[in-house]
Amino acid sequence: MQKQIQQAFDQVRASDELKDKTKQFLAQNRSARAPKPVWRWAAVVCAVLLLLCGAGGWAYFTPVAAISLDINPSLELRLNRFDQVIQVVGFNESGQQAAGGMHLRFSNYADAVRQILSDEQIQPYLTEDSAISITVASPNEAKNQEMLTQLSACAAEYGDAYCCAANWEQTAQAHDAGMSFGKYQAFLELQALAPQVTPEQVQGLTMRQIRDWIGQLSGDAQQAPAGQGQGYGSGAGAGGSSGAGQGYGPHKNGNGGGGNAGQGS
Amino acid sequence: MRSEQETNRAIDLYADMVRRICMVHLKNQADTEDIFQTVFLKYLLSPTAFESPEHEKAWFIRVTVNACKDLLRSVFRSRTVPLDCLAEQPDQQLTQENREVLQAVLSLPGRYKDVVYLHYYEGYTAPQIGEMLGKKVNTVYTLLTRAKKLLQEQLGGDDDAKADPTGV
Repeated sequence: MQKQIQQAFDQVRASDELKDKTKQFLAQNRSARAPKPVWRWAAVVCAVLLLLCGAGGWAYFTPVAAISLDINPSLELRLNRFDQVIQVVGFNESGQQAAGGMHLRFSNYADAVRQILSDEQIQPYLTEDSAISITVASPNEAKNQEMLTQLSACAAEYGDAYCCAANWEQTAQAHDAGMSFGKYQAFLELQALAPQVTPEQVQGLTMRQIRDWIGQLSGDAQQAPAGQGQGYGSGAGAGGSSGAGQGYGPHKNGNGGGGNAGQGS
Repeated sequence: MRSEQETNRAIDLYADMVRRICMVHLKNQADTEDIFQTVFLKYLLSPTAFESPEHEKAWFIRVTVNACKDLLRSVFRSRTVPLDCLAEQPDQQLTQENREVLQAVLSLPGRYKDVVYLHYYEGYTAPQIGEMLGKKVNTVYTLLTRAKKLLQEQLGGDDDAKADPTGV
């Protein structure tokens, strides 16, 4: 019986067609189940991360506003869209020294201005007859107003301050002229009164000297009583060229008449 | 996951055996194809490292028997076909005598067929069959004895009693 059973079962075989179908089925399953190479996923993740980092970095490190702080040291703070200082540039020797000695990066702009005005390198320039000029610039008028409001309050704690908004496009012109755009605003104001004045003549002057010069050239009728210079910045902030915006007036008695007022005129 | 070379080798080596077990249980070409796919897909995905060819063969027998039982449970009798279909299977070119033998085996009650196939055709002993199918050795002996009696009634003769490795 065993032999009979063996003979009978020996004749039962899987057909080639059945084997081929099974092989084909396994081949399909094998390719469908094959794990996707890890490097492909890694590359996609890296690309997305790079894109996000790039976009984040661009958003964070692109300056969208600037503040020019001029006394004699001339400094410019460049701000990102989060109101943080991302760059400090000194435009004259004292400004460069001050910029090098302070850690203002990623500070809020109002804190940064306070820190500058409180700095021991800046303090010697904040004498009774000095003039602080704070100029803000951004393409957004509402942003300018917001910064002016904050900074005028902040600067008032440190003495006379002349705060105004400048035209954002003029910042590049100011840099070409080798000045901060705050000082450039004053230069334009001066040039409107005396067209022969050149940027080189203004670069070395303090803001007090420029203001006094402007005051003198404008033929200021409001001559100060003897012993006092004319006040600067009546608050008009009327720039010589278009776009030089509104100003927040200086606030205290401006003394120290035109000692250098004759220069270059 | 096993390589294409491994699965092709396994198909070439075990396809006939899987086919015979399918025939014992199913007797239906479509179900046989299903079982082939199930068994060899399990092999493709199985992480089992076989210690020997015997180990691998036993794995195929166990998986195939279980797959057939699962299929029968899932479709019950709706997809089974009568024994008459044996003659209609295109890949079977059976002699009259072989057809009678196979019909005798396939007509046995379900629980006898596996042990008959494994013992009489594959040559496994009762303890080996018990281990493979998860049955007690005595149960296997009993099944073999009863199956043998039934087959003798149908086929006649007991000339292989001496060669019987189980001694049943």
